[in-house]
Amino acid sequence: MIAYTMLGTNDKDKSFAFYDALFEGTGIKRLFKTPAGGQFFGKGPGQPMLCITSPYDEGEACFGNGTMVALHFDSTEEIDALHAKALGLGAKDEGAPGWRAPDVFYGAYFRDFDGNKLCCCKMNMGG
Amino acid sequence: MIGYVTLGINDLDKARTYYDGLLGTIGAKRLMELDENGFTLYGVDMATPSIAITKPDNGKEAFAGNGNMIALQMQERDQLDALYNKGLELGGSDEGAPGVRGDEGEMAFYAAYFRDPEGNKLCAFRLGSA
Repeated sequence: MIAYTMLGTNDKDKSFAFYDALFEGTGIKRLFKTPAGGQFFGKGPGQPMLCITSPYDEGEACFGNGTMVALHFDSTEEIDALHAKALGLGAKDEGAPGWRAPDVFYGAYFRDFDGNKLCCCKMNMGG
Repeated sequence: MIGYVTLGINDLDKARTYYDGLLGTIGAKRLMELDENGFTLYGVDMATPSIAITKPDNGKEAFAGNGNMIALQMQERDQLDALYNKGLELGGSDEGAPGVRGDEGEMAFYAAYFRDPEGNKLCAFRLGSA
């Protein structure tokens, strides 16, 4: 259903560097750029992608309140490491790693430099 | 990689009606409804990346981000046209009518853009010739 989702940035180089460092070792890498210079990140064909871009209207980028991209990982240890790494890179903490629903949903939350909220999570929902 | 994406909304009932109608056209339905923030998850099944609508966790007003967009992949151009038309009919706003962006052909990018009633931007696209 979802092919990709875009998040806006006001400083592409700074944001790309953040996501490069964050995703290093996760299998998520840079894929291709949009004509406007937005950068797609993903694991490869058939997988939904994340694109970091300046807004189409060429106005200032702004995070959405209530908007969040949740990235799925298989292990809680990887989520713990990603949350710690994100904060080390300058992300703002929005919730430490932990089980939000026991044995069902493990999540950690932070915001990138542009205020975009991300979640790293593991879901055991029979999916 | 992407588990789900949330969109902020202020009017839960209105937004549920909108996404029931919109995503119903592509076979997605409510998979989860939580009391907390009215979090409502839409998808085709739990194994496929899904979209959730929710009131913001910080209790403040929801607003759409600029530069943010969710792109939905369609199987056919007719299906895309139907989704776009439904999106507007239900109270969304137009951001670009269905059509090929770039060149027609095997790798043609046929796309349409619209916003939900709260301003969250969505795209529907299909790759390939007509």
